[in-house]
Amino acid sequence: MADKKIGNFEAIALILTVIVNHVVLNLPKNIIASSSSSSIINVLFISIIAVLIGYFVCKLLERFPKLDILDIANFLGGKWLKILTGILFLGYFLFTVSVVLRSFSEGLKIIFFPRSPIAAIMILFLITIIITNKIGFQAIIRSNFFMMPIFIFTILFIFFANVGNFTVQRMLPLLGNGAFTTFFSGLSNLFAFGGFAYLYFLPPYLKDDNGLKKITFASIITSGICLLFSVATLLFLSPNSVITEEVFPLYLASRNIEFGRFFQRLDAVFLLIWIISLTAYLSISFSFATRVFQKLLNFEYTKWYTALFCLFIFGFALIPKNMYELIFVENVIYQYVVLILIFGISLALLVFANIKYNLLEKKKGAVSIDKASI
Amino acid sequence: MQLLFGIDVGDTERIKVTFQFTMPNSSGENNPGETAPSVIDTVEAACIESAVNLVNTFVSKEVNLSHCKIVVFSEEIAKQGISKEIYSLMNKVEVRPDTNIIISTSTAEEYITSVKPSLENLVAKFYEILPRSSEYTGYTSDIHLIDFFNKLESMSEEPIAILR
Repeated sequence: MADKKIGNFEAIALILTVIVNHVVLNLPKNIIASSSSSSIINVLFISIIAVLIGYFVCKLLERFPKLDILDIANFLGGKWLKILTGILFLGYFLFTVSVVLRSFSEGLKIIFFPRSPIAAIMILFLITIIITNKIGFQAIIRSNFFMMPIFIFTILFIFFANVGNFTVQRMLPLLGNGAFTTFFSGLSNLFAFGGFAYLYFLPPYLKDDNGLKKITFASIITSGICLLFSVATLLFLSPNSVITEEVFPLYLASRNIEFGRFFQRLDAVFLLIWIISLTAYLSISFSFATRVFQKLLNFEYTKWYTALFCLFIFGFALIPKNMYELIFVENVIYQYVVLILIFGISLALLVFANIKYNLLEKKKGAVSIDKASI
Repeated sequence: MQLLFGIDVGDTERIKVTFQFTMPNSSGENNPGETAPSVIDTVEAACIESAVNLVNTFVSKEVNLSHCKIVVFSEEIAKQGISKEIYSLMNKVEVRPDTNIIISTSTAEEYITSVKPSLENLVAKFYEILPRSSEYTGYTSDIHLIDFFNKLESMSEEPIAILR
């Protein structure tokens, strides 16, 4: 385990990779489609809610240091609950990788490779995932950590480089489709903080046992800032009808950037950076999927079945027959999967585990929960 | 390389599209001072997509609009309404949002055939610099496709384009 330990900044970068990649894909577009001109207020609102949930999760995990959600499920309901939770998270990671892979590949196909088969583009990414996972978890995490400032820089740069093209009045009326849509139904946009899924698995990997709280807050606040800048860029730049129909809305924004006659068409550079970012994200999610599988079946090694998982992802990613089905899976199903699993089931599991812990504490006095006892 | 295209009201179809291409390797370095040659083709079609497909059937290279600098509309078609064409252009990934929009008082085809860059050998460079004269003169404006489209969609603004 020692060689798998990660520092606080690496952990923050790991959680941020989720938001960065979804921002590049369709996340801001979905928020603008649902909240219209109140998107900025909605992002601020859900960011505050996410910080509160983050605080709550940290409090709930305080009782279970160095344990991930599978260990906590084992403590709460025994082996069967651990297996059930593990299957749900395994499904979540594989589903996310499949959907993101297909979505990004479709975008690349539309922009650069209109005559190339989608499978060929996806296979290139899958080969990269297999190679990175063969190299190891530490290599993925460190590469992601080194590249993360550049990924975030692209989002901020697109905002500031486009300031001259902005129509700030597009954020009016402030409450968009109404207070109910902004604050109540807009709560569903919490799915933007899907990075919480990694938070539940982080404790055993952390070098600093007390770092979880710092990691949680830093990652949520930075995620919120990235989301805010990307939503603001799109909202101020083009009418909603344009944004909601684009494949990569942020790519559209990057196409508007030019500095005189000499620095034009910077979008290709952005796309290259986002391809690296996507590879890091897919590798991390895939690595977590294999780790969950390994933990469920008590395998000693993960490397031999990574290729099999890749084949599964490849097959699953090809299920949507067209862009319409893919958009439905990405926008609707993914949203509900995150809300139900990450913010519903997982939180409920942590709450019940804490209740059980308190009951045991009352019955037997002080109990020590560690891996050996579970 | 495709430089610009013009859209007129068609005689037999809805629109008449005129394309101007530069000849490959026609940078004019062999005869300094001489304007690089370009090729002009005109087709009639129901929409821009069909026109591009039609041109692709008889030119040896695939038409790519990535380097298109200007889209010229004739005044006649502009008066009829060009929102369909603007939507088509916006939906094409190849067409860049900073492409300039020009409304020609003559037909677009006449405009394209009559443009003779006098102080510039490269036609592509001429088309790129032409709208930028708004930086030092008040007689013209630098209107991009994205600005035109945004104003077309806006409830509080009207789209404007360069009139030539």
